[in-house]
Amino acid sequence: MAQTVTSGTSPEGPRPSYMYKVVLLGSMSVGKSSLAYRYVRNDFRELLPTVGCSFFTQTLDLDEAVVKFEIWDTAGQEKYQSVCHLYYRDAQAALLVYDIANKQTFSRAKLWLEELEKRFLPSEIVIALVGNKTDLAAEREVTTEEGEEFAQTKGLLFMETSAKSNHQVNDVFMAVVQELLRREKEKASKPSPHGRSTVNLSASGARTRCC
Amino acid sequence: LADVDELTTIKRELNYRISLQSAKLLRLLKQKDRLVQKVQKNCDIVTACLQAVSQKRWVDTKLKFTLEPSLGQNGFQQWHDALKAVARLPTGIPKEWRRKVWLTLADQYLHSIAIDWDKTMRFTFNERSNPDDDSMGIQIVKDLHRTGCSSYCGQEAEQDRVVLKRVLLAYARWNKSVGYCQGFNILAALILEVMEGNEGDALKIMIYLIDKVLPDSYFVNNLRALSVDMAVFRDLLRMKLPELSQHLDTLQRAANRESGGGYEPPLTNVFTMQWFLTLFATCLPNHTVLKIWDSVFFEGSEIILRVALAIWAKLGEQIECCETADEFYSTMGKLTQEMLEDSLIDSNELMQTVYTMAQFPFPQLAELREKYTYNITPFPAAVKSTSFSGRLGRTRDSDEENDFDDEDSIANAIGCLGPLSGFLAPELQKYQKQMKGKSD
Repeated sequence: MAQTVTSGTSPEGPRPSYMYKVVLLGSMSVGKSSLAYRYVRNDFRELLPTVGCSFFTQTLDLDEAVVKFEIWDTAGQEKYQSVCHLYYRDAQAALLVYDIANKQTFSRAKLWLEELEKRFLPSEIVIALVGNKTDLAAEREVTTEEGEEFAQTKGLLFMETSAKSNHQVNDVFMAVVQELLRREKEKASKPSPHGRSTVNLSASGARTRCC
Repeated sequence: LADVDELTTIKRELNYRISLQSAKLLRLLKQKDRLVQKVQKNCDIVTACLQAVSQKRWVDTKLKFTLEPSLGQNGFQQWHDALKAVARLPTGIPKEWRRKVWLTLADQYLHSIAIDWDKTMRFTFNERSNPDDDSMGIQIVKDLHRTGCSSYCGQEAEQDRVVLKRVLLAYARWNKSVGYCQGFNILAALILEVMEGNEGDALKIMIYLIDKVLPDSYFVNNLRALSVDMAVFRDLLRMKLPELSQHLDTLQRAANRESGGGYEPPLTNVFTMQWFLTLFATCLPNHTVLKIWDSVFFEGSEIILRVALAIWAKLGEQIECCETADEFYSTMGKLTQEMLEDSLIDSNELMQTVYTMAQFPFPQLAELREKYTYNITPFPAAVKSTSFSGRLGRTRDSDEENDFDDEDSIANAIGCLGPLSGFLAPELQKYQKQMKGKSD
């Protein structure tokens, strides 16, 4: 896994600092950019469709480490994959986003997973399945159970979010960080690579602060 | 039956009215003549001004400004040359002319490819849906409210969105190999604004822009020509802004090292790609964008590369202060916002830079475009080997990457990876070692 390990300084003493590259993948108009925008700026607005790629950065000052996220947002339209795949090379985490009110985007997320599985070993990347737009619950086409079940069989993190009403957006990124940090620790204690295990999402109570 | 007196009165009345109308008509005709003369005189003045500010080349002496192409063989060319000169003036094409100017250009193109426009209109704006429409329509609808033009948001904009959708669908029907590309909604919305909401006119401009002005297959499936232009652009950046280019390369290399041999794409890519795909509509204020488009229509797609160079030149100073890739990205986040809010780039200054940075056509541009389009071995001198790189494509295909589906996309991928030679170099060296090991 690629990251910087340097000694961060804080009142509590030196903490490791990590940099992780996260990519947002999913169909058109499922809310990839909105999730990033909500997470980084804590705001929701009508965004232009992503043409090509865009990126955001976010630094998390956690008790155990300083984590810098480089969030790469990709265009949903398939045409753009040929120019975007350069950007998800080497990612340490991926959010596979679908729209809970659009079944097709869920199927597409599954295809995205296949694509990722071709490129990465499970130990190389943390993948979270994200059902966005819970504010559209009335038009729901994908049940929470469906998402949950699929995530479980594939060993993915799972969460339903709403960038619009700010539901669990922070949580999903936190869950990813926790999993990444857990793997760091595991790697430090045991040098051999191993499979993924699920993380208890409710335990992600670490305090975060934006820089 | 009316009596004779009554008829006489009517006749006199009618005669009187006729004479009044005749006098009026005569007055108007005289006025028209005067105005025509005045227009002619003004056109002559414009011609004189254009010649005065021209480079006084032989062709410039033949400049003759007319508002519309005059009839006859050279009418269009004459109009075109003069308007092109107007577009190059600091004030550019007056906004009152824009619609007509763009349409004249588009009409000329459609005429040159012998299109029956009425038939095209009937087909492309057909109310009945075509078999291919569905998936296209869904994609289009998803982006309709996301154009960046306020006029397409909100409830009351329903009608505007309907027109926008019709134009996008019409273009997708017209050019099936391009179809709909995310970003077209942004282009079409601005075009519709210039065309005052006329959908047929907007379609003409879309066709002229995408089919004629932009490089072939800019928006086709794998965006091949776009990848080529991004590669070309990195070479131009190296030539025109060597210090900035070098600085960015250093930051990129440092980022690669820092991430433990990871891969950081060329830093300018993420921005340049967006600029190219939306022709700057998402990064500069509208009045500047329209000026750029005027210029693109008259001078061709090289303007896009020139504008990108001019923008990076303008941002250069602040970028050269960045010490890491991260810092570069956050600085760019701030600068792109400022650019859009019109506080950073003066449109006149920008266009003057664009026109003066190099002669027309841009030296070496055609060669570079050709090189990255057809030559699939654009690697740096250190690892240059023509026969060898062809094999590299296949090796990559077979062992580690499954993303190259056919010969064409291999060429494309290698073509667009060309300028990323920094990142490919280690892989190439690895491969070279492998080959050497085998031959030993």
